[in-house]
Amino acid sequence: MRTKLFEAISKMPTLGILAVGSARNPHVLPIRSGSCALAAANLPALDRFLRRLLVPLFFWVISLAGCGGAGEETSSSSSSSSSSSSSSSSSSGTPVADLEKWNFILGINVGGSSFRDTKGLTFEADQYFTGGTAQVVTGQIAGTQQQALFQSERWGNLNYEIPVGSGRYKVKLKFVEMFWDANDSRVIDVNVEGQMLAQNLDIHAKAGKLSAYEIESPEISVNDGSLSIKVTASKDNGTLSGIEIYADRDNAMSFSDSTVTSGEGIYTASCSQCHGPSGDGNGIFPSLIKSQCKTCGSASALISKISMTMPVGGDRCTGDCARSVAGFILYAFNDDAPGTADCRVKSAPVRRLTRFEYNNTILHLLGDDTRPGNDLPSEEIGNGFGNDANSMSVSSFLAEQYSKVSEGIAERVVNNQSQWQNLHSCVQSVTTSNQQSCADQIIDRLLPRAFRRAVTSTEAQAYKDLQRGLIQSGSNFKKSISGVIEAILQAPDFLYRVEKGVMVDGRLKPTDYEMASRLSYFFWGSMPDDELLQAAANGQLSTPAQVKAQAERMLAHERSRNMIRYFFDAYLPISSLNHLERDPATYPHFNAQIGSLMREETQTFLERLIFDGPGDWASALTAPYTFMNETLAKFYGISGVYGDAFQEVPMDTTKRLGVLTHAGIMAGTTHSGHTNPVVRGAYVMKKLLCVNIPLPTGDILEQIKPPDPSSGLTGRDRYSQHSKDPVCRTCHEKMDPVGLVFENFDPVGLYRTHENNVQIDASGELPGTGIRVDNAVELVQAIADDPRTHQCFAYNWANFAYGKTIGASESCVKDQVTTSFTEKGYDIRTLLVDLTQTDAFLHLPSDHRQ
Amino acid sequence: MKKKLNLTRRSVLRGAGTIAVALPWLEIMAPTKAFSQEYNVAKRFLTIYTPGGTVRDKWASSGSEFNFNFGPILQPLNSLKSKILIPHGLDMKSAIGEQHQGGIIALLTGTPQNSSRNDYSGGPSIDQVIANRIGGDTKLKSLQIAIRWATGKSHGLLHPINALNFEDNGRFNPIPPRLDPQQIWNDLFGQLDNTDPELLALLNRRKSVLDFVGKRYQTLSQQLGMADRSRLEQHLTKIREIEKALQSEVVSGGACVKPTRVDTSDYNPKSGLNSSDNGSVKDNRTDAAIPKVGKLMMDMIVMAMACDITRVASLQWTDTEAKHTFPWLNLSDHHHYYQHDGGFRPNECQKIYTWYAEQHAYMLQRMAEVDMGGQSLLDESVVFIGSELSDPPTHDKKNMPFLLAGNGGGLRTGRMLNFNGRSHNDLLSAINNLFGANSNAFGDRNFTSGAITNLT
Repeated sequence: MRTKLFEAISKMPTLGILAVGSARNPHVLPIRSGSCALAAANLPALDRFLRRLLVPLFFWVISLAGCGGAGEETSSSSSSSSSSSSSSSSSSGTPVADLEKWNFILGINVGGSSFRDTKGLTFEADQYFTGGTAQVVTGQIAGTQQQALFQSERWGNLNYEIPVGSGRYKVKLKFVEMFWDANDSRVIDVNVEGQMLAQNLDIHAKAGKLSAYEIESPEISVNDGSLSIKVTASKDNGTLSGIEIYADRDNAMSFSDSTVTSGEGIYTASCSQCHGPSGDGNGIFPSLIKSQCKTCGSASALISKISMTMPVGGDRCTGDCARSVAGFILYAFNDDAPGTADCRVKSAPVRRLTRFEYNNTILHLLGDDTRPGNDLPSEEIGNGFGNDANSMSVSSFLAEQYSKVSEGIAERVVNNQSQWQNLHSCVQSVTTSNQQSCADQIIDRLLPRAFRRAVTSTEAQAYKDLQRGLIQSGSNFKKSISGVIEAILQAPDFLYRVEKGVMVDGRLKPTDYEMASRLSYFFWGSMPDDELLQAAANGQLSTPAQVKAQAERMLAHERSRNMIRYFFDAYLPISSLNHLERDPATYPHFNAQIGSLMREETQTFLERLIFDGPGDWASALTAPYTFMNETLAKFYGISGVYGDAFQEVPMDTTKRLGVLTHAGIMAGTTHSGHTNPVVRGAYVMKKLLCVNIPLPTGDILEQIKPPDPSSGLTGRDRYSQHSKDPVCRTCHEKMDPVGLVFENFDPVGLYRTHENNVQIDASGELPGTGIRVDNAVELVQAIADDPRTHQCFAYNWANFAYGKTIGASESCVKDQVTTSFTEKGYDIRTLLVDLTQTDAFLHLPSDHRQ
Repeated sequence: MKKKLNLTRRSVLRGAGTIAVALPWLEIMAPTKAFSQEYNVAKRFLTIYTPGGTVRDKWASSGSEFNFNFGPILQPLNSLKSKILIPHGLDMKSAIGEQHQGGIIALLTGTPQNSSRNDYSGGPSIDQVIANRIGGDTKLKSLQIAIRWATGKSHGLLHPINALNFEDNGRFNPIPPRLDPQQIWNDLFGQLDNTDPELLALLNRRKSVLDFVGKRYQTLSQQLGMADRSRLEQHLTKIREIEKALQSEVVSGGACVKPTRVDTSDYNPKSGLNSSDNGSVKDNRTDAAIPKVGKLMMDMIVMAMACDITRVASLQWTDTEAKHTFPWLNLSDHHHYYQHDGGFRPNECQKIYTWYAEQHAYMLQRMAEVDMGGQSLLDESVVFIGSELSDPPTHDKKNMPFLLAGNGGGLRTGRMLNFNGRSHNDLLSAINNLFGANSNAFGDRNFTSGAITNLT
């Protein structure tokens, strides 16, 4: 495999290969042509080779302009040609060109459509102008490689107002004489930011017909947010063909919240695969952290770099795209990120009810306990909890099912006596003469509860009119009410938790009713109860203290248990234990009922620990007891447990300790008849410690086959390739050492000392700590001691509570939550209440309404 | 020829999952040929997916371009040879990702599995792109159906191992297929010639409700910030689609005939919910009903097209896990077991793939029999049959076992071609062009080298 790959690399025609590495750790791959930066690489050839292999295949197909990490500028990089740069050495002792003073940030193809020239400059389609008429010719223009630029013009009296931030700029203006054959036919004046750049300019005299001519401005200052370019004529008409704008690398730029958030979206989708979700390049690609990335210290340079060279494999991100991403990078990876005291929430995408929330809401609103939301398609995984607002979308199927499901619910409500009467007492004595007023009363009562807020009479009237219309077109009373219920259940006011907010003391925050929904959907996964709605109506959900008081009440309420179960069903690998199947010949004592009981063990254990026990995540990981009933205890081989009720049972702490050693966790991380240390190790590292381990790609991926179950006597043998092969090892050493420790637990979670009559070696380590362990009991203690574990736990709860994946642009929110969790001893109930006290919970982003 | 960019604000917003500016390339922006009689544009597109590739040496045809013979697996299609084009030698180069998931994701999208899209696709599937172009005013813009779907590791849910179709909306959401044959029959044909007053009353009420609800989305979305507005507008778009489907009158007559309703009570369309990762949980009753249900689904697809209920459809014969049995072939283990879980069993696999060829023959024959007014449904359609890989034991994705059928858009069948390792993205571009696109590339541009030009 190694030789094949190397041959493949050598066969790559003419292209340079990505120069990778940050200024901190410069590795450079050999290149075949061009002049990418060369940094001294005093590394063993093997390590260099490994880095090369880990580059996904498609990155090999790049142009030279794409070469060069952010940490290493080259003289052949496609920055502006008018530059004053000086060389300086990087910390590795290699000469590295300084940042260009003038950075290309925007191009406009005056009179034409967007295109990219051979040097990587992208020109946007003609915009920001008033006046003039566009004109295009098809013939060759002499003296330029930017044909598409010069083949179009705008003629007439031209006025361009190009939005830029305050700072210093240079512009290059491009002209061509398309029409006249002689001198002195067209004479123009060109004015930039109030200064005359060219007066009585005769393009034909300068360059002839159909021949490129350009002028460059001196440095100009823009302070009013708009760079003005005006072209007038003393003879015939003004003309202009192209604009290139260069920004001083030292221009200070500010970016609005919405720009940064927009940039985050683009970054996550297109940049994070290489540069990493936290901008550190995943240890392979250029880092974007300011202290390691010179370009990242200058907004102009960054915008320029992005618009000309990024992303490597795809359409360039230019104009507003480059601005947004630059703004995000500067904000998120900037070493001077604001401390948590200044922490502001950046985004609050509208949240649609998940199926879990839909079912609970239908139950509490209408009394229907059939969980009709289960007929809706499952949510996208997103943050792992199915409630990631940014990743949710509406498919045609979902919309159809909303319609069908709401019809089913309405049918049940009008035909079920207690549900029907719960709508309003008037239904018990409805006649043809009073049915109209009864319908109105039903609507007046139902609407504010369904929409979780006060409802205006106009709003209610619309639903009343709908009901009347249905009667008029032939529906009977019950069917007309069905129609109203169907409309309510499909309305955005019901399906979405819309937040318009209110300005208080100069900041936007949720209204009291909106806060009520935030609280109830977080703690109960359902609509607010009457007490909460009343508090909202009385304006008593405004202050952090008021919110906290309600949070504590709701956490203590039994409805919160449901929500906590939901969280752990997703966070721990236990949700499909009910359907777990194992070969009955090998595991005769295991069946689907045992799987359900395992799940119940873990859920009961956590519930009791949180509400009646020590209540902290460290204790959950290291508790010397669990909960079982008689059937489950028999399966475990434990005697002395009687009855169906779950009761506390001490663990054999030479073998097991804490929740990770529950049989359900071990069985839930085994997907077949054999244990897999990779699955278990990856689960712990990724889900419990939030360590990102990228998947293999390209050539490596094609070679991967799961080991033959008969290929080794123990799991350690079967997966030995991962530690023997240096390519595999780079990633697998981050997870296998954890999974191998759990090899004492078989595919149904029972303890074993031998596999295939060979003694199991359960030694391993916790990657990133250097701590070596001999068994699972030692490992879980190391996990419980690792601060990453608790940061990850708090981070996941925050994502769940806020319905998002908190990104780098809101890293202060994440820091606030994780720091507080650590300071308060990892107490879980405190964490849940504290999650209502952050800026993210108490406020809305400043640009939320834009 | 004038390029016409037909972008409405809706389609620009559709491209903006968040407030994305400088949008990724959207296929909807690809230049299209003007729609007129002068251009031969195919009218209908059908995709058929079968799992696990094939037994390559038994699948391959031999001979020359116009004079070729099917191998043993494709023998059931012999009588339809003149309607089939075999594109040997296409490689799914863009199928990068997990070995099965990457294959099914790339099959219709030509893009690798994408971790920032929840491990689904980084681009739209070609049927959705085509549907957006030709499916404008039909009851359903497109129809996705699957038989015995979401087995094995997906446990009955939409998952990268079973997602074939992806929306053309900038977010490329995976589209869950319809599974319940009775519900599909009701949805497609329930209103056809139906004079049941109860049903008509229900439909009227549904129309009123949807109209009312749509107006509320319209009003409320205007009061919100841009990002939230685009989310609600996306929802509104879907509601309007349902409304349009309700309003479009479909009448029988001519080619359009209500398909016979069949009792499928022995078939559990949600059987996947009980599945185990390794296929050890068997559902023999449902498995035994697969041939009957498959035939019904094929009949419904044919009639859905004949009645112009939709012009774009896809049919999945299970998913890449394929963890169901074949009782009627006397195969008591599941398909994946014969692919490699129990070691590669080429004889058993060949039985399965031959049976699939019989199903394809049925489908194509039915389409050939439907007279759309001078030409058959098959004449005016393009059918694309494929899989997520070519060789089950190695998961190789070179020399894919693809089939093209029908003469829509001028597709010239009765031929065998060899593309010698060309990227299958180029085939997708060519198919796109059969439906009026004028494009040189489809999917991830790193794997395109220009559209194949000799399909017509």
